[in-house]
Amino acid sequence: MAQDWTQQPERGNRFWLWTIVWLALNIGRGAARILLYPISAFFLLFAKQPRQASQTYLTRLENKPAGWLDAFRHYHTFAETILDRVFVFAGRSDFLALDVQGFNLLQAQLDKGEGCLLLGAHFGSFELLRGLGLTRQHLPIKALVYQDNSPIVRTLFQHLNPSLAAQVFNIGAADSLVGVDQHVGQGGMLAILGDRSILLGSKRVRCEFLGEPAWFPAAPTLLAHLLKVPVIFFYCLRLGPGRYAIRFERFAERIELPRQNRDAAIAEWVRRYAAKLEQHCRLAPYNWFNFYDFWSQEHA
Amino acid sequence: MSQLSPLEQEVAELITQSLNLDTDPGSIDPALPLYREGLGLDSIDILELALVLSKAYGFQIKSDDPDNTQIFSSLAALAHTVEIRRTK
Repeated sequence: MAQDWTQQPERGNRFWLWTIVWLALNIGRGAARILLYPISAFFLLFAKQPRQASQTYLTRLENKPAGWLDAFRHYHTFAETILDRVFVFAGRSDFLALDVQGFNLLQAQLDKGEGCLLLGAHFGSFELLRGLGLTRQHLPIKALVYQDNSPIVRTLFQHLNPSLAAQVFNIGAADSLVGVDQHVGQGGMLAILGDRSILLGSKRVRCEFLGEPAWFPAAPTLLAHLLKVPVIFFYCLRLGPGRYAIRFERFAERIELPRQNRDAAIAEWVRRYAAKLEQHCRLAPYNWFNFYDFWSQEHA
Repeated sequence: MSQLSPLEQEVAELITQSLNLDTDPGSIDPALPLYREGLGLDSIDILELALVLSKAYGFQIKSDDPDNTQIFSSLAALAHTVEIRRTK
């Protein structure tokens, strides 16, 4: 049985995570960065399923079999983004070099006092961007998150910055989304990642992604339809040490779903999203952070 | 078949119409959970329902309302909430 990411025990342990964070914040980022190499290697050796998921993804993308080094680079990129996120949450992110494009789209929404839906993916570091947006720009962003995903990491970031960690709507209960309309109606931005079909509502769409169908949630499309606000596609890619490309692109001015043929209309929006994501994955393969069987047949 | 109160019947019709359900509103068990097993709604359906109810009855359900779990627990609970909170 394919183990999905919600059931994946959190690899690595609390002790090492807190140790490296302590080192990073008290000795220096350089020292912590050196440790990311053995840590990535450890995960590569002992976490088989994520490694296979990484290699499956990279093989699909590059049309040649991905080896251990490719998976290592993939893991290491992920580890670097988590370390940088520690510094953002700790309020010590001055070293970051950010290349931002499309912020005018957000500014226009703020100026109009109109809310919007920010649609992203587990591609680059969403949490880093969210942290920067809240601490530096004071943007009215709330994110839809699934809290039980990684309790050890969650506790760490809650400790580093409780107010940042609180700016979320938790997915997973009947009334999870009640009130998101009021947040958006008051000019708030609602951030959602559209590439994991699990737990985000029950409706899913099977859609072609990197050559084979995968499940995507219908939730972002349905939310955009219900909230009647513009949808802005975004990502925060790691380009190199401390360097990130932040992009905001117009995805849809409005998404209006017809009563008839609603499923076909949803499928078309999901197709557009998946195509956009695929295009960006091809440009920055190692920024894709879904370390589980993304093309699982199971309607998880 | 369970007998619905007039308000329960009205709310049941709102649910089936707005969410496009193939269910006869009169046949919904008022004690049945709305979420997941039960009527089979998900959190997005619940949001849509909250929006429809606010339009129809003139009251908002806020995200930090401690009663939210109770409000959406069943048709009977939902109709009861409408009865005590409605402004129109």
